[in-house]
Amino acid sequence: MFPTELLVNSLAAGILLGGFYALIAIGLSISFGLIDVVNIAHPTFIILAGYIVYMLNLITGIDPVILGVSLSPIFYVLGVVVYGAYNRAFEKRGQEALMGLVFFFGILILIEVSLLLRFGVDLRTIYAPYTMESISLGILTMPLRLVYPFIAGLIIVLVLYLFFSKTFIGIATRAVSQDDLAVKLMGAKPAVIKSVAFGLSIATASIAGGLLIAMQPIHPFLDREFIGRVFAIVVLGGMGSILGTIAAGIILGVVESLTASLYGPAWALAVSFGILIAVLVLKPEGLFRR
Amino acid sequence: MKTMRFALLIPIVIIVMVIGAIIPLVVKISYLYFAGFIVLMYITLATAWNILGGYAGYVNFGTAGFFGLAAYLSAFLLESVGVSLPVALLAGGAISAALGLGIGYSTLKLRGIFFAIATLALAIVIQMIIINTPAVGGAVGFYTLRPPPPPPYTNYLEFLFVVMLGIALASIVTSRAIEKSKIGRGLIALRDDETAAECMGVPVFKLKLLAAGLSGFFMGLAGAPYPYYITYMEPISVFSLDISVNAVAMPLIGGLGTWIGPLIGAAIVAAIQQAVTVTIGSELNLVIIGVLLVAFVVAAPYGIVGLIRERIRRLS
Repeated sequence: MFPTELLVNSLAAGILLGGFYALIAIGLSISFGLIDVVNIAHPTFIILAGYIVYMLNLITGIDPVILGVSLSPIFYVLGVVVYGAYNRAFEKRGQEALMGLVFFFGILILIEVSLLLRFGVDLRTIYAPYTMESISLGILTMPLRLVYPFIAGLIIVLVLYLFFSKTFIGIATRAVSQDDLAVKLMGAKPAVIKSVAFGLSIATASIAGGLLIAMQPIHPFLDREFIGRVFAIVVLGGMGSILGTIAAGIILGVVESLTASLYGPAWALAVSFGILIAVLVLKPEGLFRR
Repeated sequence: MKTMRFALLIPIVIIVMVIGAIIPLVVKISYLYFAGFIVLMYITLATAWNILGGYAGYVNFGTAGFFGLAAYLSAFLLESVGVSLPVALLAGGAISAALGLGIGYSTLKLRGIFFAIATLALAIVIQMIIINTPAVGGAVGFYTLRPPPPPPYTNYLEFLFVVMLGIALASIVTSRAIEKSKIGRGLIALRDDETAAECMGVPVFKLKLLAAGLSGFFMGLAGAPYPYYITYMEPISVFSLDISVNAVAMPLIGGLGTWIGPLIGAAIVAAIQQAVTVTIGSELNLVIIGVLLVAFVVAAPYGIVGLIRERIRRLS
C-alpha cells in the first residue's frame, strides 16, 4: 500500500514546509489578526520581494536569503507608507471594511501586472549552492531548500513573539487590537502603533520573498496560490496568535504534503481552501487562542 | 412619480431589446457585435456583482470563478450532451447561483472579509480543478462548434449578441427592481449597520443569501454563452484575471449600490479598454484599471454617480 519511507519523508517535508508557511503567514497574522488591517495583498508583497531579490542576485550574486533580510528595512518603510495612505483614506472615514479591502485588491492587481509587464510569465529562479543538497538520516531525506526556510521561519516567528510579548510597542499593539478607544484615552496614538506593526508585517514579506525564490521558481501570479494558504493559517491559528501561526502553518504543510504524495501536487492547492472553508464554518475562532 | 418611472422603464427595455434584435439584420459590421458582446457581458457581470457588493457590501473578488464555472458547464452540456442553448444558459445560471449560495451559506454569517477571501481563493481552485480534469479538456482545452444561426439571423455571432443583450437587460431590470423594493432597502440597511438592521426585524442572513444567489445566477448567465462566443475553451482565458478585476472596478467607478452605476462604469471602462487595446496594446489594460480602481476608491468612493449627485446637491 503506502510505503513507510514515502510517508515519513512526506511528513517531514510537510513539517519543514509548515515552518516556511508560518513565515509567509506571520505578517498577515500581525496585520489582519492584531491591528485589523485586512491586507489581502500580503502574498503579493512577498512575490514582489522575490522579484527584487532575483534582480539584485543577477547583478551582485549575493545569496537570496541575505538579500531578503537586508531588504526588510526598505519593506518596513514601504509598509509604513502604505499604512499611512490606508489610514488617511479609510480608517479616518470609517470605510475600511469595504473600501479598504478594494484598496488592497487594487494594490495587488497593480503589483501583479507591473511584475508581469517587467518580467513576463516565465518562471524565475535562483540557484543557491544549497538548492540541490539534502541531509539524510536513515530513510529520512530532507532537502536543504526546505530546511533553511523552516529554520528561518521559526527564528523570525519566535523573534516576533518576543517582540509582541516583551517590548513596550509590542504590548501596545496588542492593546490596540483589544480596545482601540481605551488606548486613545490613555494618551497613546493607535495610528502610530499600527503603522509600526504594519511596517513589521511588510518587512517579514521581504524575508519570506528571499527564502521563497531560494526554494522554488516564482511567477507574477504565484501570490494567488498563497492567498488561500495565508488566510487559512491565520484563521486556523486563531487570528493574531503568533505561536498559533506556527502550529497552523505546520498543520497545513503536513496536510498539503500528504495530499501531494497521495493524489498529486495539483490537488494540494485545494487543501488550503478546504481547510479555510471548514474552519470558517465549524470553528471561526480558530484552534488556538491569542 | 415612482410608479410612473417604473411604468416607463418596461417600454424602454422592450424598445431597446427590439432595436437590438433588429440592428444585426440591417448593419453588417462583425466587429460591432464582437466588441458589443463583451461590453454587454461586462454590463451583466458588473450589475450582478453590484447586487451583493453594492447593496449588501459583501465584496466578491472571484467573479471569474462564477463566470468560468458556468461557461465550462455550458460548454460541456452543449458539446458532450448536446442540449439547446436555453438549457445551457439556465444550467450555467443555476450552478453559479448554487456556488453563490454555498459560499454565502458558509461565510456570510461572519465578517464580510471572510466571504471576500473565500471568493478570492475560489477562482483559482476551480481553475486548478478544470486544469486537472482531462474530461473537460484539462490545460489544453477544447473547441466548441457553433450551430447554424436561428433565422432570421445569418451569422451566429449576431444572434449571440442579441442573446447577451437580453441577459444584460434582464440583469439590469432585476437589479433595479431589487433596489426599489423592500429587499434592496433591507440589504442597504444591513450594509450600513447589520446589528441595527437585525434589531429592526430585517431578516439579515436570508437577504444576504438571496443576494448572493441572484448575483451568482447572473454571473453564470453571463458566462454560459461564452463557449459559443470564444469557440475555444481553455482555463487560462476563461478564468482570466480581467474578469474578476473588471467586475469590481466597473461598479465602483460607476457608483456602488445604484442600478445605473454598474451600467455607466461598465460602458466607460469597456470603451477605454477597447480604445487602449486598439491603440497601445491589451497588456496595459489591467494597469489602467488598477490605477482607476485605487484612484476612485481613495478619492471618489461613490463613483461617477456619487460625483454627479454631489454636484446636483451643491447646485440646489
